[in-house]
Amino acid sequence: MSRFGRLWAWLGLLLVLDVALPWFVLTRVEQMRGAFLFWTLWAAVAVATAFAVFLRWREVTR
Amino acid sequence: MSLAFWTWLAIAIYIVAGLAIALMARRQTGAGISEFFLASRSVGGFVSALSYSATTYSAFMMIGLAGLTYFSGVGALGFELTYLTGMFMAVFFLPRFWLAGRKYGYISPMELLSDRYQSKGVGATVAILALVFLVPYGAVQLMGVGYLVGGMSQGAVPVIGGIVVATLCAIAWSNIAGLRSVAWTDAFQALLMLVTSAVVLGVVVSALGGLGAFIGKIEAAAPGLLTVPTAKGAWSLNMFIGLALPWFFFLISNPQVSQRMFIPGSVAAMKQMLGGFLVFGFIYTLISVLWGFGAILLVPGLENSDLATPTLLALPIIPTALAIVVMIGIMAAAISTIDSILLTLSSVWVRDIHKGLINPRVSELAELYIGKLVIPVMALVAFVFAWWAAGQSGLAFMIAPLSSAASAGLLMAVPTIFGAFFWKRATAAGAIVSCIVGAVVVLVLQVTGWKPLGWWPGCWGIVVCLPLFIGVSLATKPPAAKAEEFIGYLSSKLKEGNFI
Repeated sequence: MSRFGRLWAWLGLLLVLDVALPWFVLTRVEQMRGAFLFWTLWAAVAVATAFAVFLRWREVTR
Repeated sequence: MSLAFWTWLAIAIYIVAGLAIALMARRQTGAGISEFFLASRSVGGFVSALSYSATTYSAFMMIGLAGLTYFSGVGALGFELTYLTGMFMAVFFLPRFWLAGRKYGYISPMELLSDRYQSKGVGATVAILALVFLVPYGAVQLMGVGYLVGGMSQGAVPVIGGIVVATLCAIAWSNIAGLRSVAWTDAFQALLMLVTSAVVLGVVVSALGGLGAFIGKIEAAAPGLLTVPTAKGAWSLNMFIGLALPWFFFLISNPQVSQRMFIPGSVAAMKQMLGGFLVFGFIYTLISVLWGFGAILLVPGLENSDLATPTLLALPIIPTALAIVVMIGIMAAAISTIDSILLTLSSVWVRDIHKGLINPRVSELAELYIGKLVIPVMALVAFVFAWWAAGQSGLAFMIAPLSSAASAGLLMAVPTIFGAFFWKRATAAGAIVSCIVGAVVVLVLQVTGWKPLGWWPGCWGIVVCLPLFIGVSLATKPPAAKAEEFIGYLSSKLKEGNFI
């Protein structure tokens, strides 16, 4: 799979986790270490991945 | 001196500071339409990042998102962070918009669509979507300021007073020097909103005994609000998807932010804009949600959740001076969004409706003149909507759901935007039919409040819109030469810049 395809697949996986964990795994964890912590870490991973991608960009000619 | 006096004094200082920055920006402003709407595509990374942040984050955050957290708990965090994760798509779209803007000279995102699909009708259709659906989103910002000023002054300053002030500031800052004044005032306002909100959250957390005690108190007082769905039934999966789906595509569906992808002056500035925004957004989201949880502990039992922030700011544990500075920070968040919306709607009107459909030979000078006239007209429309909506009640008229509802309509342009960049077979007919039918579905469901199968309007809209876009495109003739040239050009440049 190309880098383009892998990144779209990664985004898809993140979206599946976005719903699957809070609604089906953490639904009884009535503490901040449940859905609150999950979503915080989940978003941090997404942000870190974006950094890993765009830090490789370089200038282009006009 | 009364609280109302100090509130008005702080607003006056804020307005003077904003005007001074806008007027300084005017001294740097050149001539022409690209300068007025895009600051000649030469904005540096730092200002781009702060301006993008201030445009995106609005009254929605410290009032709407905090109110939604107060009302429904942790699902609000998931909803907003889903938006931030949607920003991951910037790694695909930001270089494409930027490169295409430089190569073809587009002013508005709709111009890009018109050119790519070789149809003025596509740009005009998406422009009309923006004109219709951005009005409630703009109005939400005005409502946020009205609630804030009214609540903070405990009614001494009426809600309508705040709405009028916000409207006038937005008109002034978008008119004085176009994007340059908007970007500079945005940068000032972004810093103001982040710093003030962080400080006041710190005050609340320390008043509750520090972070550990704060977390313990939330878990003890509102355990049912720390899961989804909540004990009270909020955040069903349908509600989450209904609100989060339009938000996830905000980056490309909302023209006031997608237009910002044209403005960085270099690849380095583009990287700073994206990185700066992601960090800003992550921090500001956590602050807003924790603030909402703080309100649950300190001001329980409010009927209107959007009043959680003003009510909390009026508590004696928060020094009056700090509360007023925070109020100004939140006002800044709201006004920095609506001035960008006004500027974008103005560019959309002159480029995609007036020049695209009414008078293709209009001079650049006339375009600028018309653009400056459109700004107060659109502001007036948003003002009237805000005045009306502020008198309504219920979930649909809360700031966060109203904002998401606006994006549900704009979501109907998303297949068209994807098609422009990634699908050579996409056609103008597919774009126009899918946008119109999808938008009508969304509008009808929003106005009637009907949710068949429990699905929200944006979900039904996209269920109708996407197959129509694909089906009609396959049944009609694509602009093959333009698609080949446009996507081919981008492919070569994407490779050169090591983009995706």
